Amino acid sequence: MQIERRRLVVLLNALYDQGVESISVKHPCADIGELVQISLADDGQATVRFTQGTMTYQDNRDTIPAKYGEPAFDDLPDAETYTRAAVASGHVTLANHDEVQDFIQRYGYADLEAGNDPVVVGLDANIMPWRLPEVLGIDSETGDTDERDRRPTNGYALATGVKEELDWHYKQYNTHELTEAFGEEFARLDNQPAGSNREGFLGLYEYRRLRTDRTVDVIECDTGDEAIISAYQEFNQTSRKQAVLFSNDYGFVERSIDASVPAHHVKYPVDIPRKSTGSWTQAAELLHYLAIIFGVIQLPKVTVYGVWNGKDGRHWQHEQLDLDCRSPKIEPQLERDLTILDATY
Amino acid sequence: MANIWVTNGTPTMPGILNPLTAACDQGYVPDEVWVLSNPGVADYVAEATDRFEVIIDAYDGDADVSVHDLEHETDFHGIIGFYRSTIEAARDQGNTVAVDVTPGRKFMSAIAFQAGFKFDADHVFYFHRKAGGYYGQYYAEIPRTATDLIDFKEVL
Repeated sequence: MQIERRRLVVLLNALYDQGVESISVKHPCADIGELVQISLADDGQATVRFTQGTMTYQDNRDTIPAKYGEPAFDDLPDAETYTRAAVASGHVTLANHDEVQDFIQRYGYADLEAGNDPVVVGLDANIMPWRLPEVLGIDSETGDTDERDRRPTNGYALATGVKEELDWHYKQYNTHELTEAFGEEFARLDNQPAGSNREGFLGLYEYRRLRTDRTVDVIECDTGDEAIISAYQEFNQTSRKQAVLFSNDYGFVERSIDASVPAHHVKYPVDIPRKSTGSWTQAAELLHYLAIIFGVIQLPKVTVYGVWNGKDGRHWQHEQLDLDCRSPKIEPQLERDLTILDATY
Repeated sequence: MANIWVTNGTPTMPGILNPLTAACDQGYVPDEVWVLSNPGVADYVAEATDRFEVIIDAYDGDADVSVHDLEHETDFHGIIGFYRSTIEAARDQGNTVAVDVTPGRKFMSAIAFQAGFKFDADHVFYFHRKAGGYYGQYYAEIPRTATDLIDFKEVL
């Protein structure tokens, strides 16, 4: 059965009602094993224990090629992606969180009534998948307002060159190597994006989501930093809006600043903390990202597929995951709750 | 013996539906639902009626939903009369009756609360959101530990 990202707390509720208050989230391959453990606490709080930090995960992943070959290694996200997913869930903060906030204080909160140019956000391909403006509270719709009720930013300026860089469409045709390495679950992953391409798909559909749900200026340009930045430079000079850019690439940021386009580097932590407390909603976000980047994750009573062989564009658009309920009690409860929600929205 | 649910209209759908869903989830699945309505909330009540049925059906129940319309929101005697008659009728027939004091303006809740005790309803329920951040969301998608269905008949 399928469940949308925004409704994943329903899954946590079902597990909680079945007495599962501590959720061990595992990759099906025993050599990778438990990724995180989520403890469902009172008042909607959740504590996430990152069983393997970035370093340990990297070490574990490095043992895979010798044992199972390169295709298996390539299907696993690299350590940086693993860290980015943890940050995207809101459970882990950026290494330079305060600097990014200072940058937004300086360039954001445009006084539109006084005739200031609206501030619009541009995102580089390497951070597009991770919904950072919302995590940082600087999104034009959900961002924190200041004392004069102004949002930090007023919309987005999205470059077509960035979109093209995310459009990989590489698919996994040869799943038998993966099933041998990781388990039968991976037989369901044929004809689906593999490895880092899943991150690309996340970015591509995030780009589309922003275009649908936010005020967006589309900036036509080719791929590559030079083309993208020069298009932003022209936009800032001619549009009466000010684009500010974020990237995980120092070169991109330096080049932007040289072209007088305000830009800031997004720095991920070198390692993730052992433990972090947030909300169930954030824990659900983490499950979503882990399911996508690993392809499949196992929870108590439920296996969660981020990709499966029936997943098509609509499933990506609606941010759906596929659940294989291994316990007979979970499925009726999920179906009941999703039926009610379908009727009430 | 039937389970009766007595509530009133309000302009937010989760405000009407969440207490009932929580009650179903804890095993109190109504066979009859009585909703007090007034011109200001009539459209919301109409919308909620079908959804009551969907929720109760999802919990393997089958309920009749009836709406009692007031002409004025502040027809206090009408409000009191509604609670008195529904609760007393339920008790006369040996049914179990629960008054939901969650939705509506404060005076509605105050009257419903008082009526629930005075006319001796079996339950006087209030749906409490313990944690912030889930306003406008439905029971199924709010963390279980962030809500509480309080029965004031047990508290007081």
